Amino acid sequence: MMLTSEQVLALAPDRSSVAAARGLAAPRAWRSLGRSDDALWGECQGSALYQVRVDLSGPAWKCSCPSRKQPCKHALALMLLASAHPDVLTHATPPAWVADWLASRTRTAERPQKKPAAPPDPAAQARRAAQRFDRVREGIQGLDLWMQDLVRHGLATVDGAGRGPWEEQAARLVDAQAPALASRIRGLAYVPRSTADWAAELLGDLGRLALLTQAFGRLDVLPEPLAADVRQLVGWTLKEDEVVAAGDLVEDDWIVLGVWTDEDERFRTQRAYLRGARGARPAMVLQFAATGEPFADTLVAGTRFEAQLAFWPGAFPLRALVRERPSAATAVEGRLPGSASIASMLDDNAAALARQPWLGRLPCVLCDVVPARERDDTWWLIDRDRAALPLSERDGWPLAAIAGGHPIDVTAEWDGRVLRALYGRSPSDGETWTRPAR
Amino acid sequence: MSLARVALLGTARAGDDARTGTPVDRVVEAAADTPPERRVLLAAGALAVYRRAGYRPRVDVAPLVAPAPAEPLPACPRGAAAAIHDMLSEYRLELLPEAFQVLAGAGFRLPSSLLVDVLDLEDAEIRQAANPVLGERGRWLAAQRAAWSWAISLDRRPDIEDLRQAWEEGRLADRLDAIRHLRGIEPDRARDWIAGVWKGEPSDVRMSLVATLSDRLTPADADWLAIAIKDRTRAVRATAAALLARIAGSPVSARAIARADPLLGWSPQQGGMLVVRPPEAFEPEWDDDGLVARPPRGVGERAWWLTQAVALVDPRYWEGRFDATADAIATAAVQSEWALPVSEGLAHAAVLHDAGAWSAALWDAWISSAPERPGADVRAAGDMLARLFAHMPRGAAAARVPAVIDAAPLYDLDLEAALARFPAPWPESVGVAVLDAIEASLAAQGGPGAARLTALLRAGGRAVPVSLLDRAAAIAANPTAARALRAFDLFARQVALRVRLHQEMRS
Repeated sequence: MMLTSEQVLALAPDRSSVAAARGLAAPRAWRSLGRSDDALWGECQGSALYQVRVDLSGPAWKCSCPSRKQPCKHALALMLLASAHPDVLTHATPPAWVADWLASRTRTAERPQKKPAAPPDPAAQARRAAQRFDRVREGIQGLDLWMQDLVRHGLATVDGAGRGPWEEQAARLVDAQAPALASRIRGLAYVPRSTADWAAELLGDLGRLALLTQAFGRLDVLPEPLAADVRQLVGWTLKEDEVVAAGDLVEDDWIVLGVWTDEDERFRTQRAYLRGARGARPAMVLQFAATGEPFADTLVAGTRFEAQLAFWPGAFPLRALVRERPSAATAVEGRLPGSASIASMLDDNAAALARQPWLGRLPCVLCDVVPARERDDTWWLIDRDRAALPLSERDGWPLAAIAGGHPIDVTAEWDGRVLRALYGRSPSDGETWTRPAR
Repeated sequence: MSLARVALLGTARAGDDARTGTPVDRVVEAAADTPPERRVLLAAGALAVYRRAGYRPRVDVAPLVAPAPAEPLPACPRGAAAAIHDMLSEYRLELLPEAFQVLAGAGFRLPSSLLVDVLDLEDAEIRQAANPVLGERGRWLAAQRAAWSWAISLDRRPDIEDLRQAWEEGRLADRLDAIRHLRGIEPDRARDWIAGVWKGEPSDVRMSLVATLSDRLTPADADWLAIAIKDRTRAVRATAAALLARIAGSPVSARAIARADPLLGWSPQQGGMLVVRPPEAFEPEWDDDGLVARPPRGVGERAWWLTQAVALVDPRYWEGRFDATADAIATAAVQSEWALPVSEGLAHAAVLHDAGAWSAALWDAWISSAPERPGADVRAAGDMLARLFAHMPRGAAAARVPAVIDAAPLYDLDLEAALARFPAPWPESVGVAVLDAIEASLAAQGGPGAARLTALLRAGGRAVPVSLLDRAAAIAANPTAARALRAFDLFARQVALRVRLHQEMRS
């Protein structure tokens, strides 16, 4: 069972291990790499040559480095490497220093034990799951009381209080094993004073959180797809094999509409928006990589490829992973499939929100829109019916350059306030613009 | 009261009316048995979703400008556009002038997707080269944004009124640009403008202004220069004197000849010998002509006065005076007793009076026959050689490139600066000499040649002519120890991008 990079990083004991592991997760730092059905191994060149073994059935690891952290950065790096570049580890018979360790582990496992070892005891798993659910429920109760207190005393009390109260509440939610909720709370710290209308905006965000906690309380009566959304929005995650097991597998000719890539000193994040040419299903592939390393799947706006995607379960399924990609990507000839008008795009948006009201950014392709600047230097995309949506300022001139005042097709993310362009194409001469990685 | 206001003040003060006046109210009624604060939150959440789903676009936005006109020129091939895109994203901007020229020469323009990045560039040489390939779309964009206005105004020759406005109201840099531009088209009027502001300008500005008269200098400038030469700042006096010395028949020129004539004598035996008699004393009136009594550190007084006196006289004067050629006099100067100060003086004179043949002659004489010298003199000689190389005519310099490369370590010459006198692309002979030297240096594997190799690589990557690009690419592909040099990576990258551009444009 191969771990995803997210799962590997979740094993890390602290952030410095994460950074160190990313730095080592490149083929040039390794020798004698290899794998078998349930083990990985390699020798990592650090201050000395360290022997690293990973038993995938645990997962468990052993490294010859003196670090006391578990797992050490070398073990993390080996697992990251295997996740990102599986072809670099060739299938082979484990050398003696790996086989010996695996054998000793089996002996340990076979010794009569009071506690059950692998495979995990379903009863223990169920107990842990119930424990987590209780913790989350308590955390959410605390959150509800805290939010209600805020409303009783007034939002004006957090204006000027800084990030403190939000960070504190977020920390409590992390302790309650609801990390996704914690992130949302942390994000709200930046709303006070951010715009003239901040009170209404903050109230709206808190309100939607209240809808979420309300839904959590009714988890057992919600339709299963919506329940899946609520669980994920609170903080339960699905491993890749669980996503596949959920069964929403779609084979199609997938068109890449646009890609958003974020880069900082430590890592890169990518959101790629796809649409099935035959089934017209939208999809979003989320990927992570260490800075300087490529993503596992190369997705380029304006290309298409045959593949099977597996969707995360939900009331409006969007996030997906690419399972098998039989063919290389080819360029899309002609126009991308999209909305003929802003009105129809907004209708589609409303329909999506009706199915899952906590949706944040939604992708769209607007056909035949003209980028235009107003006197106050704000930018807009105007459609054939003369309806206009605000466009992020950064995208104005690049799109205006390929449009020249004539209609073009634009792929963008719409968050209910502003369009952030990912890709633009002029039907008259085929010139394109792609959002650069930033 | 609006829901937001209730929440802002707090239900404790503002009451708990959670009605919104929208269909959301019906949904919230279903939560009647929850605490009032929770009802406010649920109403607010539902209202937020309701509003987001019901977003209405604006309908009154109209573009400020008409659409762009059609393009008469075709866009360059995709491969060439990709190469230019890489030049921009890798910040190899120095390759852009050539790339744009190739496009313009073949009748292409830039694709619209590259226009914003090109319009954002600030280098004057790149802008000049970009102008013909911006197309109608480029000019349409430039007209909409002040930062891009250069793309409109490059075509326009500034008229006198534009120049006057810059001269009277601009920052110093713009004023100097304006007066230099005017001097190029109407030299007398430029001088009049300078004369008009002369008294009120600070000394550093006066220094720059008087220097502009070096362009299109004529005897008509002599009268005003006679005023400038009385300036209270010595540097201004010196510049004015040097200019007057260039005007044959001016009093300064006559004084310069009278001053220098006794200092040099000629003896025709043994092919020609130069007799040097440096001044015994510094006459006070020499100060009026811009000469300086006190020498710089490490230079003797008499040598210093000798150099200055010789520097003001057109070296061609000595050809008539001694009835000898420039080569003969230069050779004799280098072999004379006061070789360095005399040579420096003659070198300054060659540059001042634009005697190109003398620059080459002095250079040759020094390179081929200069005896061993102490360290400080080598530096001074190096400075002199650099000035001579930069001044001599292009053909003469091109022929001497191999010699410059050889002499660079001894005289600590800045090879990159020396080669910069040849605008890119280089004449073929210069390119061949540089590539020969690079190959020889790579074969010799480092050592004291590393600095020289670095300079040659840095200069050559962008400037070797198209005919030599394949040879340069072969050098770049050759795996050697020199790969450790950053300059080598730069050279390889520059050559690779240029080769790619030319290949894409050929196909």
